[in-house]
Amino acid sequence: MSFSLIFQTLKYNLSYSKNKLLIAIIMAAGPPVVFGHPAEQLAELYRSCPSRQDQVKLLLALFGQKKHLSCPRVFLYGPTGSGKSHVISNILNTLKLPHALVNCVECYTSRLLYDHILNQVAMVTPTPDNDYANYSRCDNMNDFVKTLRTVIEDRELQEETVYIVLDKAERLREMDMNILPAFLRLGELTGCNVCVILLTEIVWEKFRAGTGVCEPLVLHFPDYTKDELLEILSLDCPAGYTKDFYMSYVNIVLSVFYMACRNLNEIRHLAVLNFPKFCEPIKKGEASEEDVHKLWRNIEPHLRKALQTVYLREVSSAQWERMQEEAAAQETLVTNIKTLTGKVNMELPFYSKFLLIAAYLASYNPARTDRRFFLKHAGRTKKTVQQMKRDERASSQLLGPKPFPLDRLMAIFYSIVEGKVAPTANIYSQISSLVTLRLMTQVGSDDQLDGSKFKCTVGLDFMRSIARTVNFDIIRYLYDFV
Amino acid sequence: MSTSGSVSKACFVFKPKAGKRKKKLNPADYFVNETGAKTEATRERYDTYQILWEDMNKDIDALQTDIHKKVFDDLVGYVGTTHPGFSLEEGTKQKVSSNEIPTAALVTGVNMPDHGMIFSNLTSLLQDNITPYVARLQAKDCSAMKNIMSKVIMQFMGNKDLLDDDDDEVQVKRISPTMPVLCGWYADAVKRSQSPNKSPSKKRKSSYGQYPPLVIVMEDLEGFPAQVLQDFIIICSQYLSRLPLVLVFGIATTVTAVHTLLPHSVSSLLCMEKFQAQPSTEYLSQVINKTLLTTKYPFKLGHRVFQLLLDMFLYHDFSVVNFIRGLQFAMIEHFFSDLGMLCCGAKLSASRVKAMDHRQLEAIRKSPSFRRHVELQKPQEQRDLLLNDKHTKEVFISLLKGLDSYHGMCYPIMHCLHALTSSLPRHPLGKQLRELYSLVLESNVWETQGYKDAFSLLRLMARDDLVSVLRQCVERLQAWTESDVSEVIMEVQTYKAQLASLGDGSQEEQEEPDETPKERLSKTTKLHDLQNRLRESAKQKKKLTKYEVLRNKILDYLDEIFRTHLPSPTTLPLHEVYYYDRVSTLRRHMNAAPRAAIQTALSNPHFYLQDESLKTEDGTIPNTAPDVCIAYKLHLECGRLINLYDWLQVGNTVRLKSLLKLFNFIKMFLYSLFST
Repeated sequence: MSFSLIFQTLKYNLSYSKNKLLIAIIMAAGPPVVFGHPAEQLAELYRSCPSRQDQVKLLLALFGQKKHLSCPRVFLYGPTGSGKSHVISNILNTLKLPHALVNCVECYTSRLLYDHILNQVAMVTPTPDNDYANYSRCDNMNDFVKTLRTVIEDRELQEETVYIVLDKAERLREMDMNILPAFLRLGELTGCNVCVILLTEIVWEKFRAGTGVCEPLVLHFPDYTKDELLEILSLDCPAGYTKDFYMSYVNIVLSVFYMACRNLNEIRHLAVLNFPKFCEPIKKGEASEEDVHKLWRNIEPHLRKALQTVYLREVSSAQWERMQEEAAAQETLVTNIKTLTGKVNMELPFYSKFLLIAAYLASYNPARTDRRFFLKHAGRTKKTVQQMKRDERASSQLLGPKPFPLDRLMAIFYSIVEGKVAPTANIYSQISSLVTLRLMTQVGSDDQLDGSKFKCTVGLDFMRSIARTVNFDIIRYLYDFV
Repeated sequence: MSTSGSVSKACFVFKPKAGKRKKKLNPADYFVNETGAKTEATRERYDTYQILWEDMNKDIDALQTDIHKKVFDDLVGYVGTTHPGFSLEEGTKQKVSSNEIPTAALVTGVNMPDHGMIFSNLTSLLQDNITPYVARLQAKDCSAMKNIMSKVIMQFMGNKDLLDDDDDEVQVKRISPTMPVLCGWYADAVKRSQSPNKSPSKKRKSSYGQYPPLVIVMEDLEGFPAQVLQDFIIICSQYLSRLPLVLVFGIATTVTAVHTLLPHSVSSLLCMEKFQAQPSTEYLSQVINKTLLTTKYPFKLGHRVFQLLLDMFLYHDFSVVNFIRGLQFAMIEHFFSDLGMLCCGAKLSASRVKAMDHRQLEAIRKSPSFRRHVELQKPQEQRDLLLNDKHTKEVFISLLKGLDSYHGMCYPIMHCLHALTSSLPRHPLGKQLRELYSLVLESNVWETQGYKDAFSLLRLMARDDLVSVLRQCVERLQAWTESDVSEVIMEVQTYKAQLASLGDGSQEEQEEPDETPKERLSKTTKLHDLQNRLRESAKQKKKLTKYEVLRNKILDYLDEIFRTHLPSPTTLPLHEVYYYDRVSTLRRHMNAAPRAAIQTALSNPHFYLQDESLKTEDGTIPNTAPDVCIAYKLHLECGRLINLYDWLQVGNTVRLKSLLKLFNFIKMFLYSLFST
């Protein structure tokens, strides 16, 4: 059957159910025919996209032969690390299809987006020889559509499908209103055989804003299953080890980390990181490759420790190895990790500490209670039952910091700091340096007359450790803990 | 500039741009004598200052590169190894297995004024060893994607190796700042550096690798807008196969700052390695050691000034740069006065004393320490000192020599005392050398409570500890080659040898007296008896063991040494020549108080305007005063709440010049006066 016939219908808006039906039809058509691509190219393509054969087949079927009229708009979504960009770029590069691959993050203005696409389609790369010039200058969608048409004619691609892939397509929504609708109708607008492919992590429904948006063909890339992960990870098998051996290692890694993390990149990172440790007994001659149980017992505690720092990546692989060695020497890995995550080992000048404490108190205490904490003869009234109930409902520790004016901060500062402190410029400049260090943030407008407001952005644990260094019992001054 | 409208709210620093520099003022023009004339003497004073400061600055600069040497070496080494398999050629291109950008997280500490220097050092080090391509980014330049990209690309492509002719610079501005442009430029730059017919000026380049990495240094990571930083990192990782990018993050707080700025999807694109820079306190100690605790420079800080600078460092900003600036200011202030003239090496000062005229001598005779010295002399000598210029000059020279020799001994002995006491519990004489130095500057150190506590602790010290402490003493003393401390070293070493030769005998002896009372006590059965015995044994003077005797001897000797060599400089005559101690001047200049200044300006306009007609007795308002001052005084009279109408009515009676203007000021008042 001819796919191009089906795609003629796709020129018109498709409803979602039709969309599904169409995919079903394509899939039911059986294994894709070769579509005029050389067999070795296809073989390489399948090899480079493990566990994604179904998606590759589907896409190939959608694309059809080079000269087929292709599906004008495809929307691919799936979680990070599910191989969207990888599959698409592999298809386009291996089969040598004319295309433009653009990451929308890079295009912070719409002009850059046009430039990138046109340059890639026209195969122009900025070099010193052409004075780093773009293919042509275009400022709006109208120019872009016109120029794109001429580019396609120049390269004599009228017959072939030109693929325009927009990665991180969710960024398009933040650009000019007309960009997303126009790209979805690019084929119609240019009158050329153009296929626009949007790649994103979020669902299509989130793109429906404004008018004139054509429904694209929605394809989903699901997360890799455990078996698929295993298959992909086993491709990393380093030289000198058998594949089975590496598979058994990856199995162990997955058994530890799969519960906490399913991101391929992260697991891959961890697997590479810990492999030398796994092989250690073999190198030392204590165990053979078949001695699975022994190896398991050796590596398991290390993986559990690595689980604590999963996602953090504060150390590079080299530093991790060094830490492991140190830990082997003194068995204090846990403390090591603590010092590396280093929540408390920050030194601040003396008055900065008090300013930060004052900021914390101002952020987390209601202003009406200042009297009670900082006035000498304020009479420590007990909380009434009603108050307690109200406080329970809205503990400020749960609600987060509240903004406070500079004057309140200074008033609290002067009542908690020991000794006489002159309000010198140095004190004020410390406030601004606390803001640049992101320990405090400025909120609201910078209106002169209102005075600026601040928020304290550090947590209680950090604050307590800071307060301890200046012998200040911060808990006694916090309304939540009274 | 709009933010600087109010001075009372915060402090704003506007650094002048490098390009626009005003006509440079020459500090020498300000060195004048009392009459305001420039003379030979004032010129000499200025020259002395200039030479001294240049020497000192050179030492500080050397120290600066030294202090971070280790961490910089590590970092540069890391940057050098980040892209081992990188290649642009199609055939040899390795499949880049991960898209992680190698990143060095340099934790610099919170002393932000110093960071500029740290990063310029790092940049030049990188440029010398690894790569010509280093871009420095500051958060204030990178508020949006566009800024950050153009900043990076301008810095890379505006690289001096590329700028052979002038019109290139114009060109750089015209091209659009995108990564593909950078890729094209990099490929071309690599090709050009490889081509055999390169010009001789580019030979230095061959010392770099074939593919020198592109290093992007972000100096204050915390200040970058999170969204911009995330996008920038994502973009960088996209081009990793074509550009060997390396990021260097300057982090002032902790590495966790990276996680607060970046979500996981972005931070997983980084392959971070952490480097910890030396804390600035360490750096400060070294600066003090090199500039103040040395006989090399005659200029010293008095106790109060030293303490002020230390306090500003510890309480305010941890900034060594500010400390050095304070030091320089104190120095230039010192050389402003006549006393500064003699603050130079011993030989030069002798000749200068001889060349002094009567007026200059009188100025020095007036110094309090010299007057104290005179009062202690016999009447005949007193008359000579005050009237006979020739005699006075000789005394001056000998007194200055005395001060020099005092300095020669003072510092090594102080190090010795510090070695002795720094490890004691609760640090009675301070943990750091600078604390001890401050004590010495203040008064005679042996009169302080801390000194007494330290010695009573030392008298309880066990033998092993004492030996190790003495060994440290000897090591610290031996480091002083320019001073004659060999006698002290010999003495301490013999004591140490005696301690060692005491051997185990002492311990046996020690045990004997311990046992006897126990035996005696165990024999008694009655409570009354026991009490009597205990009372008796308490009365009996405990017999000292050999070790204890020796320990007391050693400590007595050391005590004697400290008393002779560590008197406070304030007790010495003519110390004003070397020690600068005008703390109020320094405080006024280094530790500005904007609120106090406004208060003064409003309540006492004469202070700043220096108009005689504004000078008044308390309580009256001259109608010549500026309107703001009048309004302020009226407001002071009104108490807590002011009726705006009344205020203006009263103002009318004292004939305010312009009511309209006043309305504008009132806004400012409400803000600056009632808000705090």
